[in-house]
Amino acid sequence: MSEECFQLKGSLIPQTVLELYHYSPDIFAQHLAEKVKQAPLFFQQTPVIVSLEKLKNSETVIDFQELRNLCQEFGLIPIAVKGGSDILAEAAEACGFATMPAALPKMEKNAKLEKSVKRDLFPNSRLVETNPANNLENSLDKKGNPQSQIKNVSRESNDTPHAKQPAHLEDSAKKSAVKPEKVAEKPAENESTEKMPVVRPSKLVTTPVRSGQQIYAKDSDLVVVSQVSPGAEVIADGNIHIYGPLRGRALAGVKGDLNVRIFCRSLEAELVSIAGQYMLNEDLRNHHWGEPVQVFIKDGVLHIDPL
Amino acid sequence: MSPKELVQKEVDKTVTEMEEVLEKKVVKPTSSSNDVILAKTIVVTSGKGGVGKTTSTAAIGTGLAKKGHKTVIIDFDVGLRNLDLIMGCERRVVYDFVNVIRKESNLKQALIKDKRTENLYILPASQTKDKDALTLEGVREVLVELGKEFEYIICDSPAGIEKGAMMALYFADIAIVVTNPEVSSVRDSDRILGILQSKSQKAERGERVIEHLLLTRYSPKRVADGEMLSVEDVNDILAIPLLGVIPESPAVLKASNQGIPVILDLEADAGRAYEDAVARLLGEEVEHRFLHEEKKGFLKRLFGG
Repeated sequence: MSEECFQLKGSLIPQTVLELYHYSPDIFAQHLAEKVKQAPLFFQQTPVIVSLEKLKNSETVIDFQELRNLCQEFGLIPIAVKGGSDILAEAAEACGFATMPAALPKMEKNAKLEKSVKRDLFPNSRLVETNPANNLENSLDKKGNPQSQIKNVSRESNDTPHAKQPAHLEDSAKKSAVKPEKVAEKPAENESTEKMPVVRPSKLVTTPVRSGQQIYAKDSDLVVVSQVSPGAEVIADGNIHIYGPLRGRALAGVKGDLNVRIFCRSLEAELVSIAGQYMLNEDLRNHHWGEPVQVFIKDGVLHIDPL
Repeated sequence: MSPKELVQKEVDKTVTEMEEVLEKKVVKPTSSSNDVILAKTIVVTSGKGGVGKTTSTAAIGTGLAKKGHKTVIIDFDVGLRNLDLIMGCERRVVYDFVNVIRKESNLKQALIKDKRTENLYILPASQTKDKDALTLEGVREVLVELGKEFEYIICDSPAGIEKGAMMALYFADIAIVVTNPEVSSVRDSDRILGILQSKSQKAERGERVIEHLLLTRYSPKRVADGEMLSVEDVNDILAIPLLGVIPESPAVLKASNQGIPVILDLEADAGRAYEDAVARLLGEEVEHRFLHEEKKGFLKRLFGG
């Protein structure tokens, strides 16, 4: 029981992303200076993640040390690099940046998924970096954000029209599978990081989950063969099965998977949530309270059905 | 040379031999962290305050000693000591637990032998210090030393989940969770159960602390009226084996004011319930009494009882 020095926790933190479209040190510095004039208070040692996903030319050579120095001059602290080609990522790592794989396109809250969208998971999201325009046109147009970003890109760009993308990028994902992001009311520049999916066996818990305890099944399902007491939290990236009364909180699909479910023998929960959409005790009492139920999302809405 | 020195010499000799064979340095084990507490360590805890931990510690300690087991009860509530009051030995407190930890006195000077019960000793808490005076290593050393002489060590935990309570439960083999049949007490007991199974030494080693439920201040009449949680309700939430049900009794207040553990009050229902609990702790199968309302005869109702 010696006092712990630290604790590693998973959390979702709103994070500013600097989306790089093209790079040359002078132009970068110039544009940055202009932004500072517009919003000086923003540039107070703000951490940023430099995203290379929207780089027009993936062959761009970037001196990351120089990039960092420029950012810091203007009060931005780049902490990581997101997406981009392998060469760029390696160069970034060599300069001490953390690297993250590129995210898949965003989806707005309650967006209806078209039938063509399936839940395939990319084996390596970096290599199959698609032309964002193509991807979104296939799947999620009509909605505000993603599309407008592309429009910005095409307006700013001096030359490359969409059609002229390098061949290897076109091949990617004919089934434009979209992994939904965690549904939340966060501002547009915030993104959660998608890790490469790893299938792990379900986490099994056989003792009662007591008040104050938190169980997190990472990248897998959670099976609890006992009760979950009030004040306890059971969390999973996959499904949650509770062979006992659920009296605490259950949060499934916390990485944004909308297709997971929560099953329990008796619904007496404080809160149930799937991929961020939740229902509290007061509302739960009208839905098969005290009975064996399954909780899932259908058409963007939380459903509770008897088992 | 003392036995300890002899042993140390042997150990050093073996270590040098091993080092020669392995041609590398061998890390000598430090004595304290490997020492095992030889006695059975019981913690009486609850999370919630005022449910009957000290009363139960006194009663159960006395019960075990009466059955012939050499028992010591330790008050972990530094700064708010009350075990000595309940045991009636407050006038004989010279040195306390913190003095022993700080090596300001030895164990023999601090331990108080109970006047009524053979085999029973009390280690009082300090009244002037606070819980920061307790250290894990210090507590471990004291428990190891006590373990050499005693069969049972009962730790009377303070309320809460802070340092004092954590110290008391850390070394436990057995936990008696004292609960009132009342919602906040049940929830706090649930919390302390979670802490027992995650932050105790046994939990760190991947073993389980043996849990027992002691339901105190139980009133069968109020349960029947639907005012109070029943044994089944509490069991539904906590799901641990029931050690005993102690009925609400005026004898408890009387006993603490007199400084006599209630188990020695032969007429009190609470006392008899504690005796049953001690028997169950020792492995006997005893039927639970006092779960249902006693039908009082006319004379009893007239003259009380």
